[in-house]
Amino acid sequence: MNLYPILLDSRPSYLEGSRSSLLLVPLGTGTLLDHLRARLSAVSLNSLAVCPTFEPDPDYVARVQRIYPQARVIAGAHALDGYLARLEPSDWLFMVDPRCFPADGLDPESLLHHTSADPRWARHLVALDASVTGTKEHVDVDREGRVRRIQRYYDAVTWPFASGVACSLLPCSCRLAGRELDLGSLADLRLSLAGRGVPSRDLPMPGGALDLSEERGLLALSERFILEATTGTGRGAQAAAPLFVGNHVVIHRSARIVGPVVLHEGVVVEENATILGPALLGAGVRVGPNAVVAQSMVAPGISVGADWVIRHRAVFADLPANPPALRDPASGGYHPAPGPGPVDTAEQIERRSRYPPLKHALDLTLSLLMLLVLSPVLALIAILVRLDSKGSALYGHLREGQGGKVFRCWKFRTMVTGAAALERQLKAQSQVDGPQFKIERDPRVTRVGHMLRRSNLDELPQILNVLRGQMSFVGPRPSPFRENQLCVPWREGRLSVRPGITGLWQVCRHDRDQGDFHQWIQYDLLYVRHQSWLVDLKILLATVIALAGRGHVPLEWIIPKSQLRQVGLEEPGPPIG
Amino acid sequence: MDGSVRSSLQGVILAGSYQWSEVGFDRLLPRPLLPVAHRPLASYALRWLDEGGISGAVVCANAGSRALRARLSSQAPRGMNLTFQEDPTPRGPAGCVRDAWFGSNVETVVVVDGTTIPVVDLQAVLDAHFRSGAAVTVVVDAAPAQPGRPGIQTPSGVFVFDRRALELVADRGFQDIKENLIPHLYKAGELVATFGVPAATPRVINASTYLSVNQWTVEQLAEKGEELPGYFALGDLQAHPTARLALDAVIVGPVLVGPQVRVDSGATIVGPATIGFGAIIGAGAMVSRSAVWRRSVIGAEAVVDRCVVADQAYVAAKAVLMGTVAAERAPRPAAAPTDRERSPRFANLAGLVRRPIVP
Repeated sequence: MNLYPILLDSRPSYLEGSRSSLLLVPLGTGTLLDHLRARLSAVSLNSLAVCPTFEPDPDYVARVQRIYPQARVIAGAHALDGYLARLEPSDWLFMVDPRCFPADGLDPESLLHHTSADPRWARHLVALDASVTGTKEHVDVDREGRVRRIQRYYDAVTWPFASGVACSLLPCSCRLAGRELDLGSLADLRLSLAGRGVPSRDLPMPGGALDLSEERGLLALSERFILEATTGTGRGAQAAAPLFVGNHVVIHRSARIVGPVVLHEGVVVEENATILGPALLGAGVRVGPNAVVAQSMVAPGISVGADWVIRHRAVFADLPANPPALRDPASGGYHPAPGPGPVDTAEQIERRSRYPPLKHALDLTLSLLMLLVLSPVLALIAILVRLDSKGSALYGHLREGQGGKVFRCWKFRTMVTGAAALERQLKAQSQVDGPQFKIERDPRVTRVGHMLRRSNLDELPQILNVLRGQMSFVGPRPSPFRENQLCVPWREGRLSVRPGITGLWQVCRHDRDQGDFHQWIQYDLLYVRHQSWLVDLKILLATVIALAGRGHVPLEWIIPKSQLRQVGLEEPGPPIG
Repeated sequence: MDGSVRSSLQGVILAGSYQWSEVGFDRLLPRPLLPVAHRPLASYALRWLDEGGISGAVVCANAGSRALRARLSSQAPRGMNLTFQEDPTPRGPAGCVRDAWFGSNVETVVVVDGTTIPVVDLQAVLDAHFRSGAAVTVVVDAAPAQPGRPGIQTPSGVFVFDRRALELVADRGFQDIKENLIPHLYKAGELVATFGVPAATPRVINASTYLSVNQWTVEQLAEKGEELPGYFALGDLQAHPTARLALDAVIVGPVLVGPQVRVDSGATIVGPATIGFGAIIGAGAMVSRSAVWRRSVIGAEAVVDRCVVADQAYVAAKAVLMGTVAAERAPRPAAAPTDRERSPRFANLAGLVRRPIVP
């Protein structure tokens, strides 16, 4: 695949008044252009083309070529036509718009190796609106403005609203025209291609995107680069001393530099100045006496006057002689911080239970043993089911397993074929609240089915699921999709572990068939919070007791009250603080 | 609004929590009690209701009811009648609202999610609700439509219920607003209206959003010039008079310093940040964009950026923590702090605050 990379260059609002553009912004030890060029050189040997979306200054070309001499600057639709004329139909364009920058870093390989339905399709790396927890809610309104429902979307990938396109892989065979490529953003290009009927494929970006058309997005990206440059591993590691890129950096003895700071060539820091990291000072920046530059980025050539305070800003424009306070650009509206947030310290992660992998290993061995031992019993039941009614012996219902992964939960078929259609008619007779569907004498159940259900033998084929690693012996019940929509914390709790054949609810609940929904939630959450091998063992014992007909087991026997983990709370102190 | 209408209004704050998570941050405190600018998160909803003219509120919580009652009762605005309701078995949001309302003669109930800080004008919402005659009004954060993407409306956590909507909620079992009640109302032909807010509503979902909300609140306090009761404001710094800050400490940006905090020589605090009751910031340390909770200790020369330092946590000297939830306690009892650098009078601190020069 012969790739021709094209970088879109733009001038976001915070760059107004400066001569710089987004690709020329200093980032880490170089510029954004350097970084992207390094990334793209891994997939293409052809030289990079830069396509400005604004009207470039006369010396723009010179500045770009000073960083990267082989770059071609293509400005305007006409020039793009000329560029495209030299390409073959079998060539591909790889266009990158840095304004939508993947939070995990730009990985061109992901687009190339993405298996799409047809290798001739265009491909786009799309940023989907992903909320921090992965749950997103959308108010569904009908034409008159009445709310129909509030729809919850759980998986970031199924949230259908794209918020930007980071890069696009376009075949030249789809008759691209200069004016189409000159639309100004890859999102518009994607729409235009779709409108023209060019088949394309969206690849969702894992981990979200940073919006570099906003100052806070650029600062977040810059901090990431600074951390990588100074520590090498990014977060949490010991930060080294400030990083000097180039020579002639002059720092006064009384100046203070705290935290990870990158200083480019020719930076001068005068007396009593303070630089607080993560910060970046571009080439030739001069920081006056007593000034404070706190966690900011200062573009090359800017002078920071005496006594100034710059906090959380990206400074590109020359500042006037009498400086006003440089405050946060927050206009009063609330914006969650871009990028991933705080994670637990390493010790907390280690302290998390090591039991789940052990449990998984135990499950696999035990299920293999049980399968070998019980195979004649399973075969017998299968024959009985097939004799009793028409249809297969096993019935696999789609359920959500750990992490939301869908799998088929196998059971012996206890209902007549086509029972799902009858369910709707009988739904009015459902005798429990919540999303379950249980009727005392369900008319769709076969005779053998009744016996299997009463003795719980219809659940036996789930040993196959355990063997495949989709389920475990002990855990919350595997739930159909509909039931999981109801209560978000319950859903998250349930899906954090493998579902089980038996569980806390089955052994502890008081009334067998009329189990209330709220009890279900409580028991599931209790189990998830108190997982341990002892609890699992007790539940298995209790299951045997229950199957033998001895009734249910009180909760205190499985999880003693003393071990019930409550959230830690201190004594209340003074009313504020 | 006249008194007769006011008495037929009631507020309900949904502050329930299902604490199952193994994630460290979720186990520190129930979410409605997280300290945002030194006040519990749920108290913002209470104050918002009070400012909107509602005189009585019911706080619905499950397992954390006792703790909520202990912390929030003192935070309730004067003149507000606060009751706490615990559901022994999960009733769900709609179920809790119904139980809170049942037995009273209240006509309209304003429901607020206890983990949000509502920014919408309550009077405007109520006016729109009464004018439209809706059974339920959902306040939404409306993101405007862009080319290739329709306008997105996300519920912001505030609902206004009319009594006829509450009558439809069953009196037992888990009842959800979004999944049960609203589709039910739509099928019954009742109007469920929306009220759009252009700005996003701050909401705490996890550690990252907690820090964002905390920072936003501190910035708002500084921007509006509001002072917390009992605190002194000095530029963007708000400090309690019992705090002791060394004369050569550097404070940049909006920072909240709580009672009995000690900031040692050469330490730097970059806002927006909050330093809780009794915390100790060691000499030469830098704390930026973080929430430092009560009685924690940050060792000398440490760098703490974008972190949550939990109650009584200990950050070792010279440690570098970025984007972390620090909750480990000190390995052995911390040495008694020496009081060498003490600035007894608050007035001496005028020089240490690096205040931006306002034109």
